Amino acid sequence: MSALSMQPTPISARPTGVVRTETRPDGVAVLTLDDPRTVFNTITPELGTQLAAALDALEADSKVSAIVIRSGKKDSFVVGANIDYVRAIRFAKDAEDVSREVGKRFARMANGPKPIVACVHGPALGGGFELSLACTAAVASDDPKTVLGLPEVKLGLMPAANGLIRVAERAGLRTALDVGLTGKHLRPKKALALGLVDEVVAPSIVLDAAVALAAKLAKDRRPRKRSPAVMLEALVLEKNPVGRRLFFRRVRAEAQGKTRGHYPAVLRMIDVLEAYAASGFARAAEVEATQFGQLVVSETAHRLIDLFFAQTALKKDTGLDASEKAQPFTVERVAVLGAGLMGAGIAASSVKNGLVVRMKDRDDASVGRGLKYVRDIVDDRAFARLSASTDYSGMRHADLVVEAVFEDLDLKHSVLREIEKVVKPTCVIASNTSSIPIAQIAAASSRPDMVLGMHYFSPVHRMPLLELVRTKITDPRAIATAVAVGMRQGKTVIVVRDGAGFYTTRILAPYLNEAAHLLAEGTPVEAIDEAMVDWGFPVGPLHLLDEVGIDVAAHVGGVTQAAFGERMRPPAAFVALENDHRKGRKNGRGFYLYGRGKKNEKRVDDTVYRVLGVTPRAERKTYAAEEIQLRCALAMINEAMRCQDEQILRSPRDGDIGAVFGIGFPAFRGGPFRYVDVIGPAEVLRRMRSLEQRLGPRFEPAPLLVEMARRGRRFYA
Amino acid sequence: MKSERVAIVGGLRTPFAKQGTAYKHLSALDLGRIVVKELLARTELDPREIGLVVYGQAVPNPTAPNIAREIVLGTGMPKSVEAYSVVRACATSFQATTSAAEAMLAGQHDVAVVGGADSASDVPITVSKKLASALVEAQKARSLADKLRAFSHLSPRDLVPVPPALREPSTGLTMGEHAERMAKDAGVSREEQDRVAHRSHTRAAAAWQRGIFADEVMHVMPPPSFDRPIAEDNVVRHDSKLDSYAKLSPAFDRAHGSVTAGNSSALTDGASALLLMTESKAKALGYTPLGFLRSWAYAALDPDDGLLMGPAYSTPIALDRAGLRLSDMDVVDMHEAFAAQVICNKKALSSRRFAEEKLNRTTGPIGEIEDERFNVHGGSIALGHPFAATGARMIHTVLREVKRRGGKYGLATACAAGGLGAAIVVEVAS
Repeated sequence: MSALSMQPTPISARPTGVVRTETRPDGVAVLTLDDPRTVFNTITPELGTQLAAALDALEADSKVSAIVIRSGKKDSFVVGANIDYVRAIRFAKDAEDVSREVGKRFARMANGPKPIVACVHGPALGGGFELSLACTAAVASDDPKTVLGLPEVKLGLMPAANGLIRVAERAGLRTALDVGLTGKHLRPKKALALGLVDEVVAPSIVLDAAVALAAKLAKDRRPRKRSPAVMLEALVLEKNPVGRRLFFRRVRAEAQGKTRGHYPAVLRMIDVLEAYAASGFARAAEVEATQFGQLVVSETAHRLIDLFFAQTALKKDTGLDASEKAQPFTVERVAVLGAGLMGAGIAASSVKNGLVVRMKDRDDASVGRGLKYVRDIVDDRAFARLSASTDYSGMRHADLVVEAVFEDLDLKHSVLREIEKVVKPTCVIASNTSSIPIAQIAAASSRPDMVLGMHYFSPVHRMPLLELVRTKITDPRAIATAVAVGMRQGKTVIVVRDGAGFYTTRILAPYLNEAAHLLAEGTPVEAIDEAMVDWGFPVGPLHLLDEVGIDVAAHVGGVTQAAFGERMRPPAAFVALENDHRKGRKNGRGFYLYGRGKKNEKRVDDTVYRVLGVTPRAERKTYAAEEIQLRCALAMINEAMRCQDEQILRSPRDGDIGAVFGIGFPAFRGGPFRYVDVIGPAEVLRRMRSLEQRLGPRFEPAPLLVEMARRGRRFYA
Repeated sequence: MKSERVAIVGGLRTPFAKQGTAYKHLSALDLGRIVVKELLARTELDPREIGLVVYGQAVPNPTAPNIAREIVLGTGMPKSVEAYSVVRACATSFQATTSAAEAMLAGQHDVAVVGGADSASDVPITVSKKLASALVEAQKARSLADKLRAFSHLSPRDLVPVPPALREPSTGLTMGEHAERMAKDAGVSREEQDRVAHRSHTRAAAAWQRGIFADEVMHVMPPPSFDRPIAEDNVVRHDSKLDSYAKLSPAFDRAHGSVTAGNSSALTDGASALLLMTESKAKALGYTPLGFLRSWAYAALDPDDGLLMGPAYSTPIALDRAGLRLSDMDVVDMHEAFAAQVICNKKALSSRRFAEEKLNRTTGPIGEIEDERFNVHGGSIALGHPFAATGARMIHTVLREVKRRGGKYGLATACAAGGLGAAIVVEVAS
């Protein structure tokens, strides 16, 4: 989610002028939105009231023939509703009223006697985009910073000022579904092609062009024409009840399948669009206001907004402890050792964000695969910053080395020794291991204080998290440097302390282990996976094991078991999987069948039960999903609390961010710590105790949980 | 005051590949970017040190007329690096090298990247003159009818695309036909030519086997699939047998000719680059130069009178400017466009009559070039000849070979279309 999309900005209570107007000699009034309290304009009650008053005054002013609305901020238009304000709304009715009120004002703008032209430069998101849609016309700059979109869905919300309906009106239902349900940003050219803006011009003349268009519309105002494609779609869907019902049934089924009902905003937006298609704008606006009210006070929106605040806070976090002060070294050049999925992904994220990368692997074929991987992700200009080799040449001036070779301590040691002969003493050396303690890797280093862990997640260019691992002796400057690089790569960075599995891998281990126990007891593979996907994980634990590699997981399991003992011990039967050469998807042998069935259709490999020596229970459908969910989720959550207790984590906030963005903990649940807060530590403790009784000491509650329950505390204030 | 010398700090080339093979999806610009980016990485140069890029293609591509500037913009160099492109046919990267050197000696720059690239796989195919003028007319026309009218005079034949002419505009003959004529005029036998070709392949193959080119040639993983790495020139015959050359039929004169595909250089794709610095700058940045440019010369002759004799004309001038004799050269590398051209040029250099009649020199022949110092690791016939890339390849190879032998001087010389010749004398660091 872009920092700009919705800016949490504390608003002071003092009344402030956020709108100013100026009437030009040619009769075009320029209305400038400029909230002096914030870096970006956001939609606040003040802005709403003052905008309405200013428009009223201009409408009444006989010298004014047309109006242009622009932003007084340098490179942004209006980035959406003020989230602090939205988060503070306590009653659905209040939100509903706000939506209805804004909707009315925007409708008046759209239908007013004098043309209003939006002059859009920089992001116009959420309410900002809705504002421009409510104008008679919009002129956008073709600057790279200019994007338009309705990202509300990412916060569990929906557009509240009829913007979604206006998109449907102009660009059709399909476009509205796409824009609303994905929350994606549109480039100005795309918005122009869709009819969502009317002109795209160079940034330097965007105001002039908006003024000229406003003056022209004042003389000759014609209704906007719909494109033939949109008219055709309207004919098929809006005017045809049968087609419409079929279409929305399919859309709904698809949305339900993807969200499993956990993200109601998606379905509520579909409601609005169906109401629009069936009964028109006014009815849709009514539905929108009601649904918006419900969403604003929903648990889902609250969890997603809290996560958004946490991410925003992390963007300003140096990753250092309060007692530490260190400036990051400048990083321009990065050496990436290993051109596999991780190495190439790290290289791609780096060159995409302006860093120069030299990537090494052992032979041409491996280097070639890495180059291909990067090439498919980045554009020409970014690719120009990447070079590759099979030796350590071209790395002398590297400011940061990220080692992403095979997870083998000896190999990592030899790689470290080699690269340290080449690079300068202040070069930060990072290992992208997912499990080997960094202190062990740093043991081979001639400068162990410059060594740290940068644990990326696959696929690197898509996964938003970077787990940065510091040892007892890591130089704060090295940490600050790596944090800065991670942020530059567009990652949300959490800094954790060294230890087996760090944080994310460590909490994943008992979770996957519990799935293994369930399977070993005879729970069918699909029942386990289905239950956890239903709970909100993107993929089930056994499917994930296939993806990660059963051999890799076993290797990591060995590391965590050695460090944490019995609770990480896999069921005895699992050794049989390795003996059966089941490595997961990479060798086509795992819990599922690969390459034989139809695409997108996952079928369990039934022979796995025989290998494990179990008979799957017949009553698959009736097997209690709740039991599976409770066991797997609590295994993970309990371990997360141990990490907090042992100060692996700096804060519950980092723990929630790490679990959600690193390993797919359901975002609408807010993360393990937020989950405990919501359920209540005492209740979570009760459930843990009951599991402990039934299943043994691997469910022994974390001391921190016991403590929190005893003292009636919460992780978040 | 000790005058500044221009140092060659590093060099690199791609493997050279036959037209339509490893690089069939790449343009000359792609190849140029690949080699320059890798040269910068290997030399550990901070790109901010670079002031100038001079680069060239013998067959310029209309999509990137100033290839040098596109290389700057596509290799992560600062955008403030200025760049221009040069064309001197097969001597293009000689020209790139000496143009940059001249700017450096004039005190305008102290670090420059030079070189050249050509792709015989990506030649600019143009349209006929009639179609071209119709297209221009149509572009200016306002109405659809006018636009259509512009094409009304065209016949189907005018729609056939036109490949670039490899014919000499002044003589109307192709290069091969010129080589054929030289061979006949000088009485060069088919066997002599085939021996030169066989020798070129044998030496190139040996050089590859001995790892001579390891530091001169990079590996390329050609996009878009990146899965067919090319590590060596694919023109070189590793099992060259003299007899096999005799089996080929003449390519340009079926009845009486002796120039064949086997004793000519092939159409090739590839790129090369050199990193140049002023001696003082190299020292300041801590580089040990491979060597220095000692002198250079270009010469021109009547295309009708031995079009490819450029080396015999330019070499004596370069040697004079260096204050050296041909016998001082530890290694001589002469571009092998055709075996016949190599033989004719060598003969001319050792001929008193040529010196007197063509060069107006009364001091006797320029000199003999013994086999053991001539095209030591093969030449363009075996290695391939991506026109603009050849010069920088030769300069780099000569310099390293002089050094390897513990020698002092080397000569690289080439003929170029239009009756031009180029020669560069290099010296190793001392």
